[in-house]
Amino acid sequence: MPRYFTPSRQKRSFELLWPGLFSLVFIGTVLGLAFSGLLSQITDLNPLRFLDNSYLWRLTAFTFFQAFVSTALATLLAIPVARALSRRPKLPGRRLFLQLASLSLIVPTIVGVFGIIAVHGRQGWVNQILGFFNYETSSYLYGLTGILIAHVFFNAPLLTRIFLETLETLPREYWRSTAQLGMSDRDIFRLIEWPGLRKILPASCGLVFLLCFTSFIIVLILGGGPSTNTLEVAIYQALRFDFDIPKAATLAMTQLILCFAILLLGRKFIRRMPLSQTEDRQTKRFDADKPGAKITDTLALFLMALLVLPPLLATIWKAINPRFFITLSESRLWDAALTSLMVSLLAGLLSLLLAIGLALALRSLHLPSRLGQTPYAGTLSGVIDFSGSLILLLPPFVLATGLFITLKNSSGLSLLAPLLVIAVNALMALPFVLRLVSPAFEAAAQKSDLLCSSLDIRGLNRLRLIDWPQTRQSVGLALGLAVALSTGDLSVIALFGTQDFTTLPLYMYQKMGSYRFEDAAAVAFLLCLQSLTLFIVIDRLVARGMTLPFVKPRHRKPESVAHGI
Amino acid sequence: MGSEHKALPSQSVSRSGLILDQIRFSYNNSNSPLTFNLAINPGELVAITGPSGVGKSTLLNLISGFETPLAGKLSFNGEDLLSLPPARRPVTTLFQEHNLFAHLTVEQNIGLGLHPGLRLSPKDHKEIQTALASISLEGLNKRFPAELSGGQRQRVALARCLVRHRPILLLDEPFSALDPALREEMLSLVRSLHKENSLLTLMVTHLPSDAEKIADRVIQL
Repeated sequence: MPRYFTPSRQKRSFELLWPGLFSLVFIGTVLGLAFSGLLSQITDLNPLRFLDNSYLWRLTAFTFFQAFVSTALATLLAIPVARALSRRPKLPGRRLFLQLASLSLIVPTIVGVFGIIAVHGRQGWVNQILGFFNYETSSYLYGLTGILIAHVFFNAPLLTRIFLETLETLPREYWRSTAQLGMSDRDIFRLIEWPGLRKILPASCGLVFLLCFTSFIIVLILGGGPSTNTLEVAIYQALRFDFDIPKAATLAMTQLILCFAILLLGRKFIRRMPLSQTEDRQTKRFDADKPGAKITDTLALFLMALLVLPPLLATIWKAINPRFFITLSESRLWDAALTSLMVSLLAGLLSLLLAIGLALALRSLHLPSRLGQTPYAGTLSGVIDFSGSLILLLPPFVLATGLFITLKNSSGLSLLAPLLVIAVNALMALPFVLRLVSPAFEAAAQKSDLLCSSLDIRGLNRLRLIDWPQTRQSVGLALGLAVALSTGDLSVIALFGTQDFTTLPLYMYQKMGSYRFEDAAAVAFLLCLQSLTLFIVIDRLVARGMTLPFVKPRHRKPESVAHGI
Repeated sequence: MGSEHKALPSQSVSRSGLILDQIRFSYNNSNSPLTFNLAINPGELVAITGPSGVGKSTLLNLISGFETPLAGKLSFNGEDLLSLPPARRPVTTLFQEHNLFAHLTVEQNIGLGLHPGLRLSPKDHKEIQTALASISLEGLNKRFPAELSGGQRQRVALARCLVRHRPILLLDEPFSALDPALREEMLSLVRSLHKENSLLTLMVTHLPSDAEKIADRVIQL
């Protein structure tokens, strides 16, 4: 039979599905192991026990409370700052702020916490200034205040960026019309900006709420006591200090059920997680010179600067100290750096492979050439999409706890530990990676699927010749992000870390735990350097295919807008 | 004796209508600034044509105050306009698109022309009804722009221009996105509204046929 008679349709419908199924099996296995561990330790599944247990009740209440207040404060600060930046495109430092805001995912959390302690801690800048003027110094950081400061520090810039992008998508004519109609500052906010922001608010605030709900490092270091503890930290303490596995399992199940409830409530919002491109579109607005606008903008920008700048400066300031080179010459530091490098690279690669598998399967269900041919497509793509986002809501701690319980009796835990850290880190980065990779593959398919099927370009050939050139930009960014996220992670490693298996964030945490802040500052420096370098180098290498980073590419497609994180 | 017959400096000439006198403008201080000189009489309907990039829209933006000139004079009936913010100029503008706020209803969009904070009196509501009738779109008060056709959207925007009662109407390629038959209809609507309200109308278009159909005078930039 001549080649052109081959009915390839049947074949094509599955050819790019198997990587996705493989990813699903992997995710399913990890989840299954974790769940079996958790369930095996829960002796009493009676939900009424939860109502009786005042400890659990308080813990849950506080977890919700701090997440809610953190999100509210971050939003209340982000909205006026976004407005100020939107109507002042030429403000000095605007670009830098926006770049920093997108870096907040890449800069390791523990470094930010370190900076906050350096400013707000007992011997921090604020108390030093108060002491200088003979005011009574106080320790206000540890407890709810510290948690709120840190959460707003990390999330307000992120929200600002999202809000600003939303405002900048409003057409230029809107601002001209508001100027011509003579709308006041209040009217512009009430009638134009707020309706625009309201659309993005549930998704972005939902994301921030979840990040605060499951935040670990911040509460661990700044929490300060049993009354200001969250579920996530309580799980860690139960496992690491009390060795009370049933308690940890109960807490983990509670956390899981709550997150699942949040997921069900906000599934729609999470799916549209705002992780979008930046486009340098600066629209001229005419309401910048009104006196009211000037006052509110100055106030908002001042508050944001007061919150964000000192910790950053303090981290740099602290790193410049006499012990800098002594710390850098410790061999344990470099062991930790090497471990971090290996773990993050492997976790990033694994995450990318899982995401590409899911992305290929997702899009092969919706190819234009197969329109309306698969009745199960909707269900299956729902499952795939869900499993990608699930990890965002399933705290790494719950996963790690379950895996720990299941595997604790196996003889080679010391060998297993790195594998577990890599696997969980990969899963933690997966939602972000999938958000970047999936639309790119989708777009490539929309563009060239019909052409591909008419030319019968299939399988690996299609991946290599058609998809790769169109998606490498996003793939590079996603891999860089995944590696950077894993580099900065201090949650799973806190559980599985040992004397011989330490990553940089854990090493830094140990230094802070023994009050060696000068050493910690030097580690923070190296940690940031490693995270940023990996991000930039990987992004350049993969996305632009160059051996030398920092060289301007000669042929850049005009449509390839730089992604922001 | 010759010096007595020298032409008077232009600023001392107080003429009625819209005067652009040596208005110079450049984007980002590029070294070839545009210069505009123009005099338009009250009640005149002028069309401005020319290839793209020649500064047709810029001219309208300068008059409405969305752009600031480097130098020159801009006046209407002897009153200087350059010192006024866009809202206080005797100008109302119809853009090519996005005239209407997508999240506000037809009624609210027109109402913004009466009160910029949408605090509308019963008299204002009556005026909105009259305006909707004058563009023959009665009954569409509660619709959102997305539920209207392109032509209907531009007519609502035109209604908002009318309720503002400004003597100068600027049209920036207002109907370029519409099909020819509809465009013709819109042009005659503009023509009649221009007459009824005795406006000074300035329309930018890249279609010479449109310009000739509607205008008292065509200016080629």
